[in-house]
Amino acid sequence: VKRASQFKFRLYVAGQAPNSVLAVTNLLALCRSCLSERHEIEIIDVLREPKLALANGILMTPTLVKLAPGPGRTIIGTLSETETVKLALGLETVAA
Amino acid sequence: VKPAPDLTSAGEIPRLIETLVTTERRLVELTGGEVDAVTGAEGHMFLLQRAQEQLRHSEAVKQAAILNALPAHIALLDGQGVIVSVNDAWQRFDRANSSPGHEHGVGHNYLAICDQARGANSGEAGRVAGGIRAVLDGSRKHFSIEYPCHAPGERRWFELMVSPLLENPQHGVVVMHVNITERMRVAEVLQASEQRFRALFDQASVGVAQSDAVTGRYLQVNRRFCEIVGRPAEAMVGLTFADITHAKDMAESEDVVARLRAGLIREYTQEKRYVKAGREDVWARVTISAMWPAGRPPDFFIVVAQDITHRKQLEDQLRQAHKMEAMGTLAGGIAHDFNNILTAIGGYTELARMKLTDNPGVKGHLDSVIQAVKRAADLIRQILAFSREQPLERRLITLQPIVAECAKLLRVTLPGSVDLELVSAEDAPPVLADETQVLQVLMNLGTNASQALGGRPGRIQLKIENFLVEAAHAAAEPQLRAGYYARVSVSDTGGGMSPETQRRIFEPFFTTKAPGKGTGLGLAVVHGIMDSHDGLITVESHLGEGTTFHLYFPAHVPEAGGPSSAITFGVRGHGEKILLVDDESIFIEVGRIALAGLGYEVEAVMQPAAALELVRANPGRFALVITDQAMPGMTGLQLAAELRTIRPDLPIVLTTGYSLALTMERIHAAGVAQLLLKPTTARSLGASVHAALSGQPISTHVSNPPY
Repeated sequence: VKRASQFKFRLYVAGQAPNSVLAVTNLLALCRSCLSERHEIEIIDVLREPKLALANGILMTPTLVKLAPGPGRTIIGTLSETETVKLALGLETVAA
Repeated sequence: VKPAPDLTSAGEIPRLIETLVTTERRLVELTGGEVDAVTGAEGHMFLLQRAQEQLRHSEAVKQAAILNALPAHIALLDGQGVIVSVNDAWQRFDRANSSPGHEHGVGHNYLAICDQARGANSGEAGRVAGGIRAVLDGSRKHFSIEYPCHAPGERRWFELMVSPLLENPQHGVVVMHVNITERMRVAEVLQASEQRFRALFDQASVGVAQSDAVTGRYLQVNRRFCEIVGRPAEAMVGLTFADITHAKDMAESEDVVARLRAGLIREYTQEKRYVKAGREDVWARVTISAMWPAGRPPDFFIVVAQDITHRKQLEDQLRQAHKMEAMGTLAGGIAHDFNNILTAIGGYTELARMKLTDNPGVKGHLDSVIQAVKRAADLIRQILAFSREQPLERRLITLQPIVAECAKLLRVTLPGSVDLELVSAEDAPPVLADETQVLQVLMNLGTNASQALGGRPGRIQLKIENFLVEAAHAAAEPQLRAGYYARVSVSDTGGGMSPETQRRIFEPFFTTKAPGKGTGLGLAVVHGIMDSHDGLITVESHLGEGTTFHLYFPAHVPEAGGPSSAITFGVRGHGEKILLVDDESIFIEVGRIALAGLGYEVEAVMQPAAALELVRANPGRFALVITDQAMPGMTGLQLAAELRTIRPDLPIVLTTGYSLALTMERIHAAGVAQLLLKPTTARSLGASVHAALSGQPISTHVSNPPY
């Protein structure tokens, strides 16, 4: 069995805007419950660093980008629908 | 010429706005309302309106929450002083403290409210208005004021602070109003505590000073410290211990301070002298302590000083008294030996004179020798008086001549401005007294009276009277008995004495005179002399009204029968056998010849034991025994007592030059009939033998009666 790999996320937010704050809160909760001790999160405030969003092709905030492990995924929104998010990020295998 | 508005663009703008709103609404629809911002073509972020509103709202809520949570009453004023906004605390305070219709809520002009204030705090209100205007017009950066604003039943203080809202104060100011009652109470308590300690410091009965540990300068001194060192507090500031310490104590003080500074000791007590400006040095017991703030060298010293000058003086006096006593003992011993030699000289001279029948020239020479012997005896008496071993020689005398003599002597020493008055009552009764000692007492009191006048004009009165002590008076004074007294009073018109001083004047070493000016023994000796005369001395005095000393001498009541005075001269014996006991061969020799010359038959022994044997062998053999008091093995008194057990009616004459240890009680108890003081002469010897043989009451015989 292959050892569980390290997850790397990058979350683009718009300052303290409500949806962005919600997205940060949801991501932290998700990682705590499913990926404890094996994740890295980088949060980028596009209001402070607008050029970074453009360079990475981010059109809206909040936007979560899964950098590792592959395949890469991009999720837009508050990450409130936990099951859907997990599925999109490959955190749970589909039931047999 | 200004171009007219472009009609095309005027139509386009509403369309663009429509597009903007529609675009945003569509974006929200597409993202399910979960997006905050979108990225523009140049990387600019467009925060969607909903997010903006939410952000604004949440910021405002937070700020309002913070402002409302503050206990300070806060109001925002605009450039004209109108209240634009207030926090909850302001509202609550306003509701609680403003009368209806006079609220300071939003919309009111705070400047106008302050300007129109009347009553207790109108003064502060005026200053607040001025402060707000100053901050508004930029002439002041901030303004604050503390003021009391007491509500019924409650003491309150407030601080009002005014700060500009933004960089430009014309945008308005923030007024903050804080209740500082607690702080003021603490300050009040601290102040009260400080005052209490200040009082403790100032009123302490010991001297307390604080001095800088580095410079040694006095920082503060209390009232008592100033008194001890004899300088006002203003003069002490800037001085160091070295400025007021006596040169002889400087080395120790410097050493102490150095060791305190170095931390070798924390506290030190020494007895040292301070130099008083223009006065005598003062002795003080000084404790100096270093005050250590945690771990650092001492900041300052605390000095506690007590004036022990009086104690030091007492110690000096005691030393002086001991010295006097030692000298007295020495002088007394020498005087004793001299007495024996004088006895020999006087005795042989008298014998030679008695045997001389017909040679007036030689007789004259011998008389001169006898005169010289008397003078020598006088001198010895004076030495004994100094050594306080002078025997009491109480004889029946009248006091008037002595009082007159005292007045005469005193007159010489008094300045012309002092009026000396002598009041002498003829009927003052005769008393049993020692003339020399009475004169000593009177001179002592007279000198005191003169000193009480202190060189100022005044009056001294010497008075002798016949004084009847009533029963009530006697009951009040245990030492007095009802009856007649010769009362001698010495009065002055000086400054008088306080009751405290009067209580203590008869104590040894108590003196009101300057150190070195009096031993404090004078009145103590006077008191002792009056005691030994069965008399009493009392004092009457009031401050500013002079002093009177009264001397009470009990009137002598002659015993029924028999003559009261025992002094009889020239009585010759008729062959009575006399036993003479003395360890000094000179006295035996002189006594034998003198008594033989007076017609007595004399047998002499040098040991008391031999005398006992002779009497025991034949108790009736001797008509009289004369014995010396000071003999090896057995004293004259012991011998007398032994002899009386053998033969109770045997008359005994005791001779002594040195009657310190003899009291009349002991002499009586031993059965001694007569006391004979050395140096003896044929006359005194004859008189005492005659008195003893004729059974006269006991008296003292001296060889040179002063009259």
